[in-house]
Amino acid sequence: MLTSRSVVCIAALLAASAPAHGQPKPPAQPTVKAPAIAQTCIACHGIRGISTTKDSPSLAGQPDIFTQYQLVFMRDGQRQPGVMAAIVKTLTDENIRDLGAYYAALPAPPPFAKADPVDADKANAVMALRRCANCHKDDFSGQGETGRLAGQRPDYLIKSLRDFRSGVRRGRGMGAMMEVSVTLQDEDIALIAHYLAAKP
Amino acid sequence: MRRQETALAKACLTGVVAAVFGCVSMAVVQAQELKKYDSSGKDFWLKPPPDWFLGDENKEQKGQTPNPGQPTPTPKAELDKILAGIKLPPGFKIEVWAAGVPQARQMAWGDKGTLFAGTFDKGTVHAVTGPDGQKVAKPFITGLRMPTGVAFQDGALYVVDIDKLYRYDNPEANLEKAPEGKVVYDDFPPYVPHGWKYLVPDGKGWFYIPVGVPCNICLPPASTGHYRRVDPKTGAAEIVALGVRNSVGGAVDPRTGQLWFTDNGRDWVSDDLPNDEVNRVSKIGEHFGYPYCHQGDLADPKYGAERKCSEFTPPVYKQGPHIAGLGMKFYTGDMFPPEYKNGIFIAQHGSWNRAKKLGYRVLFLSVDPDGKNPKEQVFAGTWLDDQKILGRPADVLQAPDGSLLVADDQAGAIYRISYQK
Repeated sequence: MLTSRSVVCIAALLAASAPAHGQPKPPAQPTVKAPAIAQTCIACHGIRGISTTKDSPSLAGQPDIFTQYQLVFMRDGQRQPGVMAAIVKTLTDENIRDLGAYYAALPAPPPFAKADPVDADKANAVMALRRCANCHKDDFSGQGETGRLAGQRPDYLIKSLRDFRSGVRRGRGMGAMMEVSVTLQDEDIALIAHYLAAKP
Repeated sequence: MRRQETALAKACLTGVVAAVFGCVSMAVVQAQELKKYDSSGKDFWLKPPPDWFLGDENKEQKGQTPNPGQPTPTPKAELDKILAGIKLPPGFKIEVWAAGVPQARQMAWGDKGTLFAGTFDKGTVHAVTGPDGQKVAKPFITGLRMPTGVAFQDGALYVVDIDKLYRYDNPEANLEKAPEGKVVYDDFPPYVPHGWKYLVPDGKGWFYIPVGVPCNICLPPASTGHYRRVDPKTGAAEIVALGVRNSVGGAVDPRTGQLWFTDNGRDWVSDDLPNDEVNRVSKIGEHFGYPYCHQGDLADPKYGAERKCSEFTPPVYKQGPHIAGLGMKFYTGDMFPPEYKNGIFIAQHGSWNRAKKLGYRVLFLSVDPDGKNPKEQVFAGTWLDDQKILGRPADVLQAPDGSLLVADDQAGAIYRISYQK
């Protein structure tokens, strides 16, 4: 439920993130109603789901079902919640559905400004072998239960791939993510992460 | 996906492998290849690639992917709205029996009225209790892998996981804490793909249990692709039917004592081929065709040259292509009109390897004990809003009063279908 107070709060935050005088205005963003529960998320996951916190992922533009599954997995214990533990404990199914819908409707993050320049051919070779685009799509925007990778924080992508590689994180169903990451070297992981982070 | 499953189940996929060349700022799709891999050899299936369900993709079906499922159960108010749109024959009505039963799969009644339900990949078996209209599902057994199949026999709950059959004694004594599960059979192969199972009591204390093939199309490991009959008391087992690809439902015909089962056919031939099957086992060791022959009359593009379809037993009934009939039961109650007696209800989970979705409904099939004269009737359906999935029936189970319960593993609910003149 969007209270007048939270509307003011969000408006203020949006105003604070407006560009400096003289620079071109960003395109007008569609108004997306934030569920009240989303207030809790801003501190780590950023205003409108774009994270400025190391190791905390951007959530904006993540497919609805993907976000829902991650919250369900953390709440059920199929995924280690870490710092999310206290938060997921209190989430109802309705909260989870609202959050999934909200983040999916937000404009996706722009290419990550501070990504390291990488050899695109090398990155693509690593990913083609593991068929990443099959699930994550050619533009890495994700679909269904598969997350958006384009524009994600590289530190979070690195953390995720390492967690999948070591089996700390399983992913859905038959553990496809564990399978594809088990042969990734650290250099491959950094390569992919910075390549995807910079993708529009 | 199946899930998973199912899934479930499953890795999701798109149909396109795009090779992107050039600089990062200019994404140019150079080639759209179809996926292919060499799936011959058993090692491949011990560690199947994440997109194992693809096999050799074809152009026409590019982009089709298994259903990602639904993370949270559909709320009751929304279920009521959906059920208002489900069509049934005159005199029948459908209602929510229990909402909030995540990934409800095979169901079984306890002696004291508890309804147990398996799940696809939550690792949990739920116990559903409470007065009518206020049924609540609680996790009862947790920490398993894919406990899709459950049965209740001689005061004990049986749960079949990928590679183990467990027995839980006197489970209804304390539904807050499940007893320790005893492994009564574990001579199963380890494969997860198509390894989720169903329990068919044979009426003599044993269970018929399917062991699916860990691939889309392959010469499967010899430890897979069949139905076994297992004695939970001694762990003795025998193979009773061969050439079975992926069965997640079966029942013994009360008229003859014979095993009948649903079987999901291979993917990536076309939208309309092959049909999923209903089969009848008339003798031990009968072979139903996989991988050489599908639906009784379709030679497999890859393996069909090696044998003739005439060597195998054709299905009693072709359900429809990719429709994924899962749980099935013969109706033996007195609530429904007499023409339903000894007929089969089939939960048709619904297709993914097809441009236009098919299934998402409960089918009624009347058929002679020898398999002749099949007559179908779409009994309850469909759980589709155009191409949007509202629910996926996974199992059916008769209630003591003769009504029919339907487990929906997508919406996470159990429905009750009843009849009144």
